[in-house]
Amino acid sequence: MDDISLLFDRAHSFLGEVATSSGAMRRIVLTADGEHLLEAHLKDWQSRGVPVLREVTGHAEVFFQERIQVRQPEFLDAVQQWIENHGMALISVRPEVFGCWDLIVRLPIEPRERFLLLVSLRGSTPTDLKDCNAALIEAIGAADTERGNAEKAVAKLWNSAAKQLVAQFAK
Amino acid sequence: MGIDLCGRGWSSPETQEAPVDVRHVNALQSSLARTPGGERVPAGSICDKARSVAPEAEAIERKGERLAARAARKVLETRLSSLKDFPIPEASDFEERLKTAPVAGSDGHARKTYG
Repeated sequence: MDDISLLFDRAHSFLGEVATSSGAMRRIVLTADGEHLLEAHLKDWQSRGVPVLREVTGHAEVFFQERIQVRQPEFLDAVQQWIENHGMALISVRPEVFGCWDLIVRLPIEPRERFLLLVSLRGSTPTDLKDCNAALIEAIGAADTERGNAEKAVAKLWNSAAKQLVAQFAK
Repeated sequence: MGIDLCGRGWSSPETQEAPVDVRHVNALQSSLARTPGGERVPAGSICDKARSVAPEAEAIERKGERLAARAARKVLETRLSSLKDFPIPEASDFEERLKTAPVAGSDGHARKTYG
């Protein structure tokens, strides 16, 4: 099974997910914002590798750049370093936490709230995760109910507008 | 009445009125299609009516989103606060790390795959 890490920017916005196997890249899925921010870099990584800074042994102040190819097991560490150096966060999650994340992204809450929920879940016990999963499903249901009410109210508004128009042109 | 389909909705070149969202025109047209006599309403009047009703429709949608967020938070606060080890073991660490870093963006859902 692939290991999943989730990408966020400084505003806690979700940028996408990185799937790896033994550290090597399997796939990267980006959101629209992630695409805007990272697509050019991703293409560069795919063709030339991920640039990482290495320290020259014995010279703490001297660095050189190395490129890590996407199929190398060092890929995930290289991406982690690159992401953190560019002000973003790459958060590795267990499969059961990733399942919760699929629910969290459906909640109509702020990006920061989603982010904090995720990092909180990472340290949760399996029992708590199961309870969280149920709570998330319930929260999505509650939100959907409110959205449904709004949709009905909007439909009623357009129906009323349609009746007014018909009455106007029936004369 | 002209029709601007360049992603901005319908507009009226004669009056230079702001374009109206195609979504609203479609909603009104759907309602008219279900209303007897709706087929007799001219396109220009549909556009004008959609433009005048749009602010109220958008206000209801925004209120719906606010209420949806409030309902979701209420469930989470109630349900998650009863869990033993929740929250937040690592959030402050990540918060601090993100605060000191130099890049930003905005929100969205996963959609484009590379690999």
